[in-house]
Amino acid sequence: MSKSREIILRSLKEATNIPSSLKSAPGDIDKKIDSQLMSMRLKERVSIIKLFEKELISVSTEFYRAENYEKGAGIVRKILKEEGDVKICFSDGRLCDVISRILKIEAGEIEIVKTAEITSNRKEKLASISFSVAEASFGIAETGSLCFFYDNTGTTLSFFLSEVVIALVREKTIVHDQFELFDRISQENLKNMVFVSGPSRTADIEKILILGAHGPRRFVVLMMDED
Amino acid sequence: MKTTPLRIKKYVKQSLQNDLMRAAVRKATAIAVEKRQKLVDEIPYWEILRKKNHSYKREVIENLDRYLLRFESECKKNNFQVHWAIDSEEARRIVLKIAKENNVKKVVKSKSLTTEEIHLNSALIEEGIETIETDLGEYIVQLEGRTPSHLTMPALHLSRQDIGRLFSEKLGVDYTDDPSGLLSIARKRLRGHFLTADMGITGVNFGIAETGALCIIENEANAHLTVYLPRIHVAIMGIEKVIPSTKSLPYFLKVLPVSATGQKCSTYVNIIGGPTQNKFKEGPGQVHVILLDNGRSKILKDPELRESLFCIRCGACLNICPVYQQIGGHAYGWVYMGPIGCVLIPQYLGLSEGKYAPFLSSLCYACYKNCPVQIEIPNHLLKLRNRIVKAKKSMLLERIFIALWAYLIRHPKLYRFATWFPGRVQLLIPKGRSFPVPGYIKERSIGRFDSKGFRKRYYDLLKESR
Repeated sequence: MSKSREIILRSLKEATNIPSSLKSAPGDIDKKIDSQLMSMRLKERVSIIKLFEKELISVSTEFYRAENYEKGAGIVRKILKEEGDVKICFSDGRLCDVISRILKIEAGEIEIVKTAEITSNRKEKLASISFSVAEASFGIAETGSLCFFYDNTGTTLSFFLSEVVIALVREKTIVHDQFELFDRISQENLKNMVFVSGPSRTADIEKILILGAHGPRRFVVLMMDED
Repeated sequence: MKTTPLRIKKYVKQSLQNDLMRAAVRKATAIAVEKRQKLVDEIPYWEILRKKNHSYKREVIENLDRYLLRFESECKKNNFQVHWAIDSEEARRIVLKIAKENNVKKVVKSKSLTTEEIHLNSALIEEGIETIETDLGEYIVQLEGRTPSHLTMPALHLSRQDIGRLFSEKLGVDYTDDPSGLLSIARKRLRGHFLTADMGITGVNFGIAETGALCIIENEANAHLTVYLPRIHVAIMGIEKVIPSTKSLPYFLKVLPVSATGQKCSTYVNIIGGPTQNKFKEGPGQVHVILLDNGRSKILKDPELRESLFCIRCGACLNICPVYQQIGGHAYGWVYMGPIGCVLIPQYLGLSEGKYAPFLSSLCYACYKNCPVQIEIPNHLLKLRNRIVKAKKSMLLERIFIALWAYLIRHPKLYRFATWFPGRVQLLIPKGRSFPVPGYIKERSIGRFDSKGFRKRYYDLLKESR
């Protein structure tokens, strides 16, 4: 063990033994806050999805909803066309797999790259692709956020290096707020994840909002009804 | 250029004479205050949230040794390498040692006040390691050769024209003051650096004791790329940044972006639980966490002021502060500025070097009302002022003035005369001008006394109100 560690811990021990003059929080604070959170939490799915859409738009995210995979693939194709791009990078995951297969069959001119197939010079190759499709594990209605895990789907790096990202998310995985989400996911996932709320942004120049600072400049959420 | 809070008076004078900078600061803080307030009004339980966050912070800070040990042990389970640094020098030494052992030639950094606090950049550059700030605001101030002027908006003091000239001069690009054009220049340059850097250095917003995970919050995605593209990640974390559990995190995530940037949620909340874990080997092969004391344990020993360790560096107290709005961040002479900076400066640097800072406040309590963790900043400033006066660190002229005032207040007749007399003498001075008082300049005049004198004016006002 390092000497500095021992010195710091000893010093902290001495300090924490000195009685505090700080006021304690009222005893009923947890009860109060829980009841406030519960009272604000929407119950009906329709209202939660409406809120999700509203909040996504407020953080400069485009929202689409597709009732089946074919329609979802059509939306991806439309956005790709708008961007004038032909190369598209798909992460792993059930939704990504099905949509990439449909696109592969339908449109010959689209070049599909799977992140899982890139093994050498991964970061340079991913950085050269400007259009990505990734699969989110959860959506959070209250903040218009999506939750991605650092897992074996090869999602996060391609997501952050692309200029345009489409995030696929299942309707049933949209929760109302972060508190609800933290109750639903495992401790292991809770320490390896990222919340994303909109395209990368900065307001460092005269507080003027500009999109596409270092990550995606365009962020599209495609919610799939089909499970 | 190294600055010191000992020269606060000089910096304040310079700031007050810089009209463009003051206009930029006023504009940015006004926007930030308005955005924050709008969101706070939408959260009916905001005050309970503040109390809850205060209680989480209190729990951790008053048991900091215990929580740090838990955090360290969980970090090790995540394959983080944990280092402890007593002071800035030791923290710099640890970073340089890691860099040397791993043959690091280029470092990318995401915005971190803790690394500013330990003057890390200059140490890396002196060792010949190319060091690049990647947050746009930080990149701009690095090009400018200065330090940030706000906790969360580093280039707040510069207009787009200033930035355009800076880019043109330092990067050799054509002048533009179009914000999108400026961003596009920076993005292109920095992307190349991200892909070729050996080491990424970040700060930490929250270290979760229960899981040993690091939480880093940002809007630009530069922190994510700083962590996941280079082969080594070094996270420098003040020991007070620990929070108890994952369950406590959403409470902080709820208040931090609202208070810092007026957002419901920051664009990216990265929760990092260790080096490369997935099958694609994305992310760093090594992660080092440096736990920095640098005076924090000393602050903890002071039961009256330890609450200042609760600060989550949101900058809300700066935005609302009438003094900060006038003078901007560079006037404080140190990395931490604004109301919370005025509390931290004398505690970190000592009463001698920090003796002026606690007086840069109007004690209007707006900082306390805006603090998402309910730090009683004005009370701490008063305590510090009291200590500075008792230690005879205040100015001689000020001490004479206060002693004279204390004498007069005990002698009502003399006091009455003293409050009436300046108003009469002032009649000899041309209208529109006021007494010349040391320390007051054109931009900060003392104003004219009421010719009736304070007491007469007070009683007149009292009569009117009845």
